[in-house]
Amino acid sequence: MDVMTGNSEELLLSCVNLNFSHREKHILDNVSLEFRKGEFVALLGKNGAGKSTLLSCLLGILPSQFDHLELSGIVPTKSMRTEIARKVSFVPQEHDDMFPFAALDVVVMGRTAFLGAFGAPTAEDYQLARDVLEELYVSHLESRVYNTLSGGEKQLILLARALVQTRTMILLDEPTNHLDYKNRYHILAILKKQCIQYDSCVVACLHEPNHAALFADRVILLDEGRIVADGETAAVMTNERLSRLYGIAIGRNKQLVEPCFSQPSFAGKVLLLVGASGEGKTTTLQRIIENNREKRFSGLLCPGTWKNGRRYSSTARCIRTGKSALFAVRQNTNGNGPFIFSSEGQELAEKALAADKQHSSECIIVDEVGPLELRNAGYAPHLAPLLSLQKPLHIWAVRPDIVEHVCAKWMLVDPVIVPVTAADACSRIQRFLDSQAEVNNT
Amino acid sequence: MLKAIQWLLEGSHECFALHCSVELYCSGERSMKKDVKIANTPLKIYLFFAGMLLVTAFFSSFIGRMDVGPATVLETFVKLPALLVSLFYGKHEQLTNDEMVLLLIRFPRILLALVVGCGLSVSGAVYQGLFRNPLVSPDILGVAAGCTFGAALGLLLPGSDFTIVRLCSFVAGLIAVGLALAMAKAINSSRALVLVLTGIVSGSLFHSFFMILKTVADPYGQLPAIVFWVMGSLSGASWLDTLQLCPVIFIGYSIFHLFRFRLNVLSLGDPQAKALGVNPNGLRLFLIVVSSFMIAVCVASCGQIAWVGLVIPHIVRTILGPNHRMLIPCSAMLGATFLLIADGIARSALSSELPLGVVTSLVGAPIFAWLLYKNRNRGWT
Repeated sequence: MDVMTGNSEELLLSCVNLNFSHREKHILDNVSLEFRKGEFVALLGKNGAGKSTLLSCLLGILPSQFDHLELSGIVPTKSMRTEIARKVSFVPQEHDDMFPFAALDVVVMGRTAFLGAFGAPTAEDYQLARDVLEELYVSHLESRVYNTLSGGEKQLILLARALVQTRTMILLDEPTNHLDYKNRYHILAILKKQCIQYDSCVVACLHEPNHAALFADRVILLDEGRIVADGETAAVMTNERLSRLYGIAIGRNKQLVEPCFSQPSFAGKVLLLVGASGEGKTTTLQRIIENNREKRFSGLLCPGTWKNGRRYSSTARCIRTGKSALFAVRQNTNGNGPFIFSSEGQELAEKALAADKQHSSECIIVDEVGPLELRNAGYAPHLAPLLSLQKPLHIWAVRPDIVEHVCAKWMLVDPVIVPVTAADACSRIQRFLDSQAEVNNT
Repeated sequence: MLKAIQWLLEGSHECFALHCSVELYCSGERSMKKDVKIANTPLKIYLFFAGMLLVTAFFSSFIGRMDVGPATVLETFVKLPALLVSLFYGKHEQLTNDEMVLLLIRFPRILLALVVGCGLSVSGAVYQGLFRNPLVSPDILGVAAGCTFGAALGLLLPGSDFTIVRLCSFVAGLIAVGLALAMAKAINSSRALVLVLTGIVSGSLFHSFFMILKTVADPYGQLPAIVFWVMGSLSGASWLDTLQLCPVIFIGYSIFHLFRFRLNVLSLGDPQAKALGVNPNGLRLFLIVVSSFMIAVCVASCGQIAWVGLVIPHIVRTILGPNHRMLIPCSAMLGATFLLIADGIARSALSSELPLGVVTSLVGAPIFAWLLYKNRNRGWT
């Protein structure tokens, strides 16, 4: 592991024997740590173990005693705040008590350290802030009042502010607090992406060991201000250590204290067949089904009829039962106007995609995941339940302009993407099907 | 002239549109979100406030015991630079009665109202940002109490004139703030709340000193003088005091103007300001000293004028949002306009002159109540 080799170029922050006491009580006791580029580090510990205090001391916000504390060549407690802020950004716990700034104004404050004392953000700073909001898919919040946002939206805005400030090193104080189930994973996935894409060092206090297990490269266990374990996630997070840390029995699998729900890994389970309208996505899928008669497919195909170069009508075909029904047809016979959906077609589609009917399926095909689904309409309610099924593979037909949004919405971290126009599209899909069959067999 | 009016109308539309959209986006109406482009269209809003200020200044030069026509005002205005120069050298030209009234009484009074209004409301805006509380007024650290005590002391001193009263007032005001800051330093907590508390301590100390002075004052001569001074008035305005006041307010305003983005960051609270790269303690102390200085100068020259520092920033924040980038300049202009209107009412409403502090309270308190009512359930207060 890189972490162990001690390559000094990658070292961002290090401290040796850091102590902090408040009213004669030791909050931090001889803490020694090193943080390097590209790491996702989770800090675990009980309430009051000193996690937040540790972050504040590392940032130099709280005064601490230490033998050595260095942040990329500077000592945080002795440096100008601007210098520190250029090297490390901080996401505090969500809070309300501020003036009702517009969200964009909050994000652009991340540029403070790069402006002169009398400076104000320029058009470029605002553009940078907008780009980051775009990156996190929250551009629509730009001119909303920060105080009126939901907890998840606030956290995303604060995260955007930190990314505007610096991506080199990001410290987060309980970033998943108060967030709903999806937003927790959303925030953590964004952070993981920073580590991979920008070689950022992310240090986050977490309360949920499962999150640490899923996302962190390295876990630090903190108990009463002392580090009790520090190392690779799998090595540190043993039943024995966690049980001792939290004071309750914690174990994997059947010994669980509470039922463990988490997002399953999609690695190699989802294939996105990408192509514009009329490039032959449905045709390709039909060919795949015909070539693999021994496999059990299910899901929905939507072959269409064409008029004047535009889709005129769609038929819904349930792959499992083979039934078909007219799904949608354009309002005007000349091929213009919006689609009108037929009720029997919709009913058929509902049945074809119902998660409780897929128990024997080996591959679920969804044709297609479009803008309607991104707005939580259409098939959208069925997709997450389908993804939660452990066994089957998924093939989704998607238009090229929304691939990224689809990946973000359903948190497909690393889907197999096949353009329908590629010469070897069919063989690539075949490989996807075969490789997973092997995995399942072994 | 016509063009100017057109500009103004457009400006007011802009302001109105902004107001509407602010309201809409507060109520979470997403479809209107693109309408809020505060960052991109400040020029028209500045011009709207500046235009309002100029028109008010122009009209208030007609108001008073003597009727003066617009033509005379414009003609006399041309002579102003020459008069100032001659005043500077101590000479006096022969002037007509109209010119005397305008040049020596009304114009300095208008300028004084503008400068004091600007100073009070800008320091109010800054204090509210520094203490992260829209209901903080600039005398929270005891400046006003100190100034009042100083002025009363000056009025009681034997053989004192107005200059001594002002000097006493100014010095006592700064001592009061100094005391509050020193106590906060001794407590050694960097929290803004401690400053507010020591400010209350220092303010009530000086207020009780002031009450003692009132009790010992001669009830027929000195007591009324003290009471009237406390209620505030611009009637003593002369070119000399006005021009003494101008540079202090100008420098103070410029400092706030330069730091207005930092003020945004400071208003997030200390931990966040630190993480974003601002040292909150040093900057806060500096800004407090600057604005206390401004308020001491204002209160010393025209008594305690209530509500301007509290209401004006609040109104501007309601219309334009809390970003200090617009809040500071627009508060300055609106504060100046407000005090000018209040002074106009003070000198023309009754046959005798009303105390200015009374008028600002009379106008300001209902406005504030209305704002509180209007902004309920919206997180502005």
